Amino acid sequence: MIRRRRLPILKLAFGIAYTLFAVEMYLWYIAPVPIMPRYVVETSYGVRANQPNNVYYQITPECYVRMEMNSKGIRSSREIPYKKSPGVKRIVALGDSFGIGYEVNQDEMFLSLIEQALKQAGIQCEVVNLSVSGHGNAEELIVLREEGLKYDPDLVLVCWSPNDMEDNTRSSLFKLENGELVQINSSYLPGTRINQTLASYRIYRWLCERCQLYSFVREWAGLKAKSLQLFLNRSTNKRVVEVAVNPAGPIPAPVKSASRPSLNPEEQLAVALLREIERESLAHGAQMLVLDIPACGIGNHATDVFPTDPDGRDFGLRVTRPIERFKTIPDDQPLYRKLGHAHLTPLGCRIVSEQLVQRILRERMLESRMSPGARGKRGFVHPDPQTEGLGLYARGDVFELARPSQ
Amino acid sequence: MLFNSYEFPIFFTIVFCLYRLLGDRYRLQNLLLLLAAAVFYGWWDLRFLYLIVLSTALDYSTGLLIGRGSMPWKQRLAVTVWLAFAAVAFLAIHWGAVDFSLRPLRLSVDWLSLWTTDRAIWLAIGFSGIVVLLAHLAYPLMLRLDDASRRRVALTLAIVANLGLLGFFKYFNFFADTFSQLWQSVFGVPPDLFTVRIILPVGISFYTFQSMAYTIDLYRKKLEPSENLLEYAAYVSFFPQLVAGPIERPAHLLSQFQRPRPQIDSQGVSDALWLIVWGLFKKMVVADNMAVLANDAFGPFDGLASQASVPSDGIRLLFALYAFALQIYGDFSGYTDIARGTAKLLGFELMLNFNLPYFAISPSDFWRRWHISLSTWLRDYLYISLGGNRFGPLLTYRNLFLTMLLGGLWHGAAWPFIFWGVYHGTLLIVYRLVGLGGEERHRSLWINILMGLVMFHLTCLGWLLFRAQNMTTVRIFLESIFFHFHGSPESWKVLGQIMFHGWFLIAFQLVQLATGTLNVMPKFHWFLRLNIWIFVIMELLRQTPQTSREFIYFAF
Repeated sequence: MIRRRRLPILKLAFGIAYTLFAVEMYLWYIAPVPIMPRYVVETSYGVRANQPNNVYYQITPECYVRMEMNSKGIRSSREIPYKKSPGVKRIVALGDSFGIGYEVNQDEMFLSLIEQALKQAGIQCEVVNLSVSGHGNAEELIVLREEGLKYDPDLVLVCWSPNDMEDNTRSSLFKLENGELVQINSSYLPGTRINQTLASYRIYRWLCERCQLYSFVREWAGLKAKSLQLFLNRSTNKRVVEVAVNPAGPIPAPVKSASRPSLNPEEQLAVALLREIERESLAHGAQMLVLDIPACGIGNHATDVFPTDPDGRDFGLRVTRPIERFKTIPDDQPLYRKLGHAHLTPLGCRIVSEQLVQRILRERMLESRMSPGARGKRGFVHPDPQTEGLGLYARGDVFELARPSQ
Repeated sequence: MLFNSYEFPIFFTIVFCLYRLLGDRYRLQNLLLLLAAAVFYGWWDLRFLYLIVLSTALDYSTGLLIGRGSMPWKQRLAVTVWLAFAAVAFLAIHWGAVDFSLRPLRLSVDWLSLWTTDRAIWLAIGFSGIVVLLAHLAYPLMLRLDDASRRRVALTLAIVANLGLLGFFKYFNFFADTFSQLWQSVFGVPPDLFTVRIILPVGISFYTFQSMAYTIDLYRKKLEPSENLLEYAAYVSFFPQLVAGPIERPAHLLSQFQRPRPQIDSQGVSDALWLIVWGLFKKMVVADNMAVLANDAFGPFDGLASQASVPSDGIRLLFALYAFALQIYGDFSGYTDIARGTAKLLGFELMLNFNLPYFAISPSDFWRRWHISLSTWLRDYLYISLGGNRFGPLLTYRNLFLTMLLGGLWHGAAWPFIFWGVYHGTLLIVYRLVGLGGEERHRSLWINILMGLVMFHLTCLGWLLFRAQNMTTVRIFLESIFFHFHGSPESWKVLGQIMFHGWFLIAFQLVQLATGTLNVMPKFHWFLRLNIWIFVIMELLRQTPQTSREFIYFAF
């Protein structure tokens, strides 16, 4: 009798266990999901940082990548002190998963490549990569103020990715009030404490790094949660975000035209945050450059979603756009990961770094250190490319680039 | 609202819970279903709900005149009030003037723009008001007619009005374009007429045919008229099958609205859920992935095909045709399965619409398996009305041909559908002429397989006519397949994709064919069932293209 009563329970227990096993097998062998664990910790300044002294792996059908964080949570195998050595130029990079080099090895990251290339060009240079997956421009501004400036940068490089605008809204750290950028929340740490606590358990780390089903569920739930938070924040903010007038100078009033409709609130906020990052950088004697990472499309057909002013310019910001170069690459040489999270491939990173190095050298961004007091001025140097030495990189012959499309 | 959208599960869960709370109070359940249909259809476009209301009112009234010979004042008043309410709620009010928000909770109305300023809408309201007034005035005259004349007049009115609505909304653009082209070819300049484009209301062909079946069945005395407007309206606008069928018969579905629904047991729930999941699989995994392959092949010719060259890899185009055959089958039969599953959860049985059509061995066998609700409708209300096969072979061929031509036209007024109808009509005639017209299977398995393969390829040829946007595309495909039958790496890639996304559907259907039943799941061992459920759900979660696509048959 007892055995007969237990049978359905045993069948149910077996059914559940088997279902989990079968789903895991399906995901491994038929439709693998990218396994991309993310270990983040809380900081005293209210935004997420990478867990220090951590080594883990990203496994996707396209790559197997080692992620190594140093004691400050920077993706690097060496320690970087705040005080820089004499004669060394520093680039502080702010960004998200593109900046931290998801889905590429450390030596393939575009930030590693520009460091190497600048060294080869004779500039003693160090890149301090403060990127954290999930950061938007709002968090990047806080990271720069609280951490980045301690490194005494000569150049602040913002790795602007297409989802930054949504991230800015989602984090709800800043908003535009009567055209002024106002900090409305002191922290944005979504699920960070629980992530931090769970990461201390080995079983959780095993699930994160080895279990397809866990990655699948987490990714699905994460996407839903992110969409919900974005929806709620958008519905709350839509009436208060107005035309931006930024401390670093007025943003041209939105103009409706056939070619360029007016900026939407998220674009206005992104521009205001970038201009604030620029203001902070200039105030500390560093120049600022924005890398506009194009949005991944079908094949290599990337799109540029960076907001431009009515004249088609960049609100006075210095922006490097690799998109034109991307367009020349044939589809059989992918620039983005197709089976992972659509980050740049090593080739995409090489092209991005080529473009950045050309721009940095052409405009001598690391040569003309500004005086820290030159608040609000811009240290732009626009040499004539015909007469000034463009250097090796500007000719594009250091990188073994893909063949252009026929 | 699409079955494969995020809104639908939320909508259906709410409707289902409320429906179950009402227990066996089936009249209240009918009211709930009517309200649910308004939300379901209004999600797409509120204005066209009025057309459904109009069609319902028309057939309800003429049905009473045909079936009972009179329409008491209470029923006339009910119809008038209902029409007036629908005209105000769905047409006259501009709902954009009403702003409702949850955070913070508030409701505000912009009174200045509350009423629509669209002249066409006020014209429609005025026109239908005049029609209602005339109907009231004509009612005493109808009563004076003898029974047979009244029935005939009422039926004629119903058919003319239904076909008039369908014709106006579905065929106006086609006739306007054809007239313009004709005018231009004669006079050299385009006419300054027909600048209006008519939007096609979703599902109009389905609910109009369903309504017409009701009045025709009443005329043929196969049915008693529905006395209750609510019950009839709930039947016409039953949301699971409102926009893409199956086109139900009143004797089958209306009777289910007239009595409490049977309790659904656990096996019924399991069957219903399987139908829903299987339908979603057919649509989202098979059809949507096949659509990518078919569109890749047809896409370059969809615009100006006359400039295009004939591809040298005919095998790729043949595979693309297979992909389209799977796409249209998965799309339409998937919708039907979801409709049948959701209806089953609500206690209704909808008719079978597809029965393994690609295993047909002859055209008549195919039409007994493909879109069964339309083919039987055409058979019962058109083919038989034309005389069927009662007046010798020549008239039988004519009737078959006309029925298939009108079947093609039912899909829309466009030359591809007309050619498709003509093609299937011709196939039916040719098969009959050579003595292969029956659907009985041959004793030899190999001959059946051979006939099935031939029929499948003939069906694919029909799909070429159906899918191609111009005749040049048809020529290019045929030329490439017949005269450049070569493979290319791309061809094998297409085949690989077809097999990757279609193998399970094909294997499952082979089992259905071998076991002779469509409801094959309960026959399997529970462990095999568990594996099938896991596989199908995981495919739905992982193998669905990013872009959600509408159902093809929404356009018909």
